[in-house]
Amino acid sequence: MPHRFGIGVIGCGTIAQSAHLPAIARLRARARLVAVADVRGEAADHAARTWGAEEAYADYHALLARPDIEVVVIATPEFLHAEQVAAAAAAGKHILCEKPMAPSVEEADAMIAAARAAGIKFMVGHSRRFTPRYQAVRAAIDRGAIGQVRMARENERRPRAMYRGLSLATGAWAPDGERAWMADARYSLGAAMLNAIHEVDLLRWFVGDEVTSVYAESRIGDENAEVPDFISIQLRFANGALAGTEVVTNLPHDYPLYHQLEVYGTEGVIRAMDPEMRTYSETTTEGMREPLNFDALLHIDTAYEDELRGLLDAIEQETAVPLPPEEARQAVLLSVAAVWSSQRGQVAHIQPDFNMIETPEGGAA
Amino acid sequence: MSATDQPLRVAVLGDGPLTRPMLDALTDRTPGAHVVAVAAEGSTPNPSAITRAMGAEAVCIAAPVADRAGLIVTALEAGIPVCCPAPAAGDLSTLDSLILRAADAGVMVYAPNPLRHWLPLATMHERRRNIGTPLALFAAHRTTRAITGDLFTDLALPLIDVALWLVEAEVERVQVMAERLFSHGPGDGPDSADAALILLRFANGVVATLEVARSLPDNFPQAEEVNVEFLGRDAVLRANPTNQAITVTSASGTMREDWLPHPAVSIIETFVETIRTGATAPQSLLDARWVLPVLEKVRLAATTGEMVRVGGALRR
Repeated sequence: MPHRFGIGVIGCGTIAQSAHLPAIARLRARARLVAVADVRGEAADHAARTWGAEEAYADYHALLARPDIEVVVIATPEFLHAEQVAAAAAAGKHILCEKPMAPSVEEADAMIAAARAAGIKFMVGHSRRFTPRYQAVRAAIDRGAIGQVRMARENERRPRAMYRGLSLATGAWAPDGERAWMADARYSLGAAMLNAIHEVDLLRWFVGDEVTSVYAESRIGDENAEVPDFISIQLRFANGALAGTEVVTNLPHDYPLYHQLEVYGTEGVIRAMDPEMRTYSETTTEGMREPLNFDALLHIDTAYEDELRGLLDAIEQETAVPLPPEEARQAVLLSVAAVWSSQRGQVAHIQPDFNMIETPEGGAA
Repeated sequence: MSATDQPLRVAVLGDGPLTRPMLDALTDRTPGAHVVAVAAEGSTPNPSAITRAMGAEAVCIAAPVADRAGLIVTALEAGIPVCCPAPAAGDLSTLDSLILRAADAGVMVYAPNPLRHWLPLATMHERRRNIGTPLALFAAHRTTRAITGDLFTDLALPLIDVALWLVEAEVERVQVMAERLFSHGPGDGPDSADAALILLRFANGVVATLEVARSLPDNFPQAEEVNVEFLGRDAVLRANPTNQAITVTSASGTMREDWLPHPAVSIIETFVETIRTGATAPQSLLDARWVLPVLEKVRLAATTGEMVRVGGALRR
């Protein structure tokens, strides 16, 4: 009989309820939800009732103190990740941390160091790396279907309804009771981190090389937001390849074409475009809707289940996690570089060792 | 039939991608015009000689960009109205020279951007105010790799024109990443680039993400594709003018047949109507005067790899 890992979930907001908690439920043969935690007690209670956790905590330290929890899923906003990963590692828990890994490269490095020091398995959940659509793209690249990748684009467009929390039982958290954390400059860097970190990670994965320079333009479209809900990013890679991504989270409700991926190689092209992947549509007097596109890509598919399974396999078999945290750290670097660039109107050049941004004065940022 | 009801006698000069669509438009779709001469492959077109010999009353130029300015000058010297799809010139000094010559000759030069004449893009322009506060523009123009020519003049310039046409604001700054990624041959650097990612920041806050590339494999089902999305707070407008085709699968394989009218039809109709009515050309050489300065900054940004401010009012 396979071992059933005791799981604790820290953070019971949108991504936990729509992705991580359902994935744990589907993996019930190997995972048992023991407890959940959220600073909003009612959100924790709701998640515990809905997904069958034994206990709900408002203080995540109480969850970490439980010996029957071996693995924690951290599904909080990124500004809390460094502290919570350090605490979980110190408590000897294996960790699956939601992306973005951290709002800064320094915090990402500290998280990796904390996990190493504790000897626990640590993985950042870049779910797109586990999404069948993108895995098929990478597999086609790996088997040489298009030769060497020379240019790639991944555009992501989201209706503003998602930006505000997917209309779940508990909406996006407002730490100070004012605006959602993801729209608050004290807690978020905006679209560059919230979504574009997916795209820069995918582009780097598909090109298969490190980035040497980043340029970005961003803007705030939502009058209630303090951080950009739009960003367009250019990437230049060490092997000469170019890539671009345009991410917007403020489109009209029901906009259906979320993802547009194109990868151009020396010998061909790969495309994965939502408009050509219609799986379901509803045509009414109000027009046509395609409500399944977003869900099919992100929440009905097996990505979140597979990333958790990958972590559990690594723990059980004492192997490396399928997505090393160093990969997530490089994605943080690219998103931070995009923010740096868009705020200054300058190209962000990455240092020769691809470790940090090189400032115009020759320093590191 | 009175003399003014006679079909306009038109000469088509030059051998380029627009030669066949222009001839088709003149032959099949424009009863008010009649092709009297074609000077294309293997010939050295001389508008003066053609006009004298064939009595042409108007000239349509379909030559590659590098040959257009010379053909316009000779047409102006012959006093014949000219239709020359943009870009008529690839640099400001040549363009300014053409503007002065056209003014001196008192001859109309119609310089339409073919992209503006694709029905989906024309519709997008008509409905651009429906999107509420504009947020961003994404536009891509890709061709197969076998197609040659200067990437910036041939592909970027018309797309920048579309961006200015839709966004209706001045460009504040540009950044470009350009490389030769898909073709081989002598030369390196931005001048020989076959792919460019261009970011334009407009004074009204709109960010335009433009992609121009000869990135399509040569066996791609279509030789070129254009995608434009105009993103606004209240609506998103999306135009795919080049994917409107039927496919026919038979024993000889699958064939693709475009059904959407080629921009040349609208261009020729407008040209003939402008001559007939004596109206001002809806897009003249002067209109290119607000696009080329942006293109020059785009080239500079591609060369330096750094952001370039455009600054100042560019429109005439």
